[in-house]
Amino acid sequence: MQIKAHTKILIIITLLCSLGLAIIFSLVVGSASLPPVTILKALGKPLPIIGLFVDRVDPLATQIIWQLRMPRIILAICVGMALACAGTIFQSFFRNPLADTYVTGASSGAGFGAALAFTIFANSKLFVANLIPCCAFLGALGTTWLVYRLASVRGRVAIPMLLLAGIAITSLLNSLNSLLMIFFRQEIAQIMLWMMGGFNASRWSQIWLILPYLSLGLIIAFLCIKELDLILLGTEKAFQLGVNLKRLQKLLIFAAALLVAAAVSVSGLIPFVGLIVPHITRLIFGPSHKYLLPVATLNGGIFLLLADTLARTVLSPLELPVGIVTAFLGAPFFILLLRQSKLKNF
Amino acid sequence: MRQLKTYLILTLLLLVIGASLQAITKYPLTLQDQLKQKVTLAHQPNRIISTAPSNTEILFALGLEKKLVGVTNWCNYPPAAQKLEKIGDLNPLNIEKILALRPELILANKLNDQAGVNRLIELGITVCVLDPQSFTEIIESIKIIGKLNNRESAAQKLIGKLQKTISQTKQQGSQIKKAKLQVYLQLDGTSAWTAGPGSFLDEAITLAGGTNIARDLGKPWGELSLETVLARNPDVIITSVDPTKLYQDPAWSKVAAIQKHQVFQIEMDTYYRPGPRLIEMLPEMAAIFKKCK
Repeated sequence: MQIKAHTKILIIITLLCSLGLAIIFSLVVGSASLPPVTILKALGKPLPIIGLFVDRVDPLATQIIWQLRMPRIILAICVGMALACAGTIFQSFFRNPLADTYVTGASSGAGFGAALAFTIFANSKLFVANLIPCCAFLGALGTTWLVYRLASVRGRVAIPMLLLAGIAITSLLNSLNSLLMIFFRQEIAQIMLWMMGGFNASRWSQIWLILPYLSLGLIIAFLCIKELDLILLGTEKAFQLGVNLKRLQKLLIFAAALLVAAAVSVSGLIPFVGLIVPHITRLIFGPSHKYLLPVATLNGGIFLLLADTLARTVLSPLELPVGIVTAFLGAPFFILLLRQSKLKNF
Repeated sequence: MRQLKTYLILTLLLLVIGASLQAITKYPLTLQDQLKQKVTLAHQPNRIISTAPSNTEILFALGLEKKLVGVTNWCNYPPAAQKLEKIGDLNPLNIEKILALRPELILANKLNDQAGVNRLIELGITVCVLDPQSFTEIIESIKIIGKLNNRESAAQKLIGKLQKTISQTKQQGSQIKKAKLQVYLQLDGTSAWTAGPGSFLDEAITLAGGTNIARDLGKPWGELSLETVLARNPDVIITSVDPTKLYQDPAWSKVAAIQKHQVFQIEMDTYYRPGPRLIEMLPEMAAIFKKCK
């Protein structure tokens, strides 16, 4: 399924348009049924200049659009982009189709940090909600650093070591997580729901919180596009072609940890986005990172936005954990593509 | 004529005194909820949302159902609650749905997702979080809901009734106590998840004259091992599942409760929700213990 260059650009434009459409769709649907005219008015009201031309709007509509739907949409896109980009980096860098944010232990580290926050601070009542992202972030960074150190032998990271160390640390943290849950079963519902991931309490401050991590992570990743392509030829070959492997390893792991921390700290552990979105993109666009990385990132944003919109509307007023929707939508589509291509590009 | 005037003035005076004797909530009102957070109401709330079944039951018991504009999907008692607008699950809360119902007061519970509750407070809605774990706290939560909604006398009346039930059960229970009944509470069919000290169900068993076999659990809710349950050989089992399951299970056959045929099924909702119904069922529990050996 190789596609010509101008077709690729066309597809990118189509994707940008579908992102726009997805945003509009998500703004329009929700448990509060707002007529489109009210939504347009509510959208325009707080804006400078345009706002002057808008007559009275129900303040409730403005609040729903600007304080609930808008930050939720943007946050879902940001997290989807972060997860898909991190997943692409891991898969390409480790040249392993199973590599994703879970393999380096980043996700489970974040999960453990959050579970710890839930249980230790369970009685402090007030500040738990604010402490959880913090602890998740520390957990993600800490675990990635630990796995990285474990896999470093004389200043070089051995990829198989890294994968195995990541899996070992992940199992260790998962068992600790289960242990915590047994001791604090009353908090189990809170922890479980957090782990399944979701955006129900999204706010603008969360976006500002993760924006620096997200942009720094994305910038580093995009600066490494050429090296990532060279690595596909094999690490030895890449080394011969002048890639500073040591520096690249550090950079990419740092970038991926930033991206995972950004995603996990605001939305919990959302499965499948980091694994499936890069694969789907690779199956369609081929392995060259010039297209793969930006398109996968974009796809991640669109995919997670649609998944979250479904999660909050499909059984309304019941809200589903978004993780259920990502797996439910992603897995069958992925299997279909897989059967067609037989993983040609790996 | 003058006499009539005097009478009128006297009646008026009496009316005023009578009214002031009746507990009337004055707004603006500030009080502490059960998480020790400040709750402030500028005026009497006319649109209330309950985000927990126990709160819904208390609101109905205080005659506030007309002001209730939203309940969770789990609020099934009294039956009229099922006809009210649904806001979804307890956790995660559907913020948009709640906001769209324009609530002036949200009665939440510790079981709700904390991030969601904090978000609602941020959005400027008055939220009162209740977390009743003991009978005293259940009564306190009724008092808080009554106070917030200018239903203090109704709350007092209900509390008086409930306290009477509690003291009557206590009296009955003290007679049953001599039998030293070992009671096991099986809250779900697949594990030995049960109530320990500090929970309202442990308190209920003790009041009704039984001895909870999980009294050394060390926390309000937790899991015993099946072996511990069998070793402690309960005389009475109160379960949420079909008793025939226990009667037919060979693992249980030597347990005293099975041999004496003292396994009783309960309606879970009544027992698990810290509301008025929990206290109202106390005599029923004492009656069960009374006929047990």
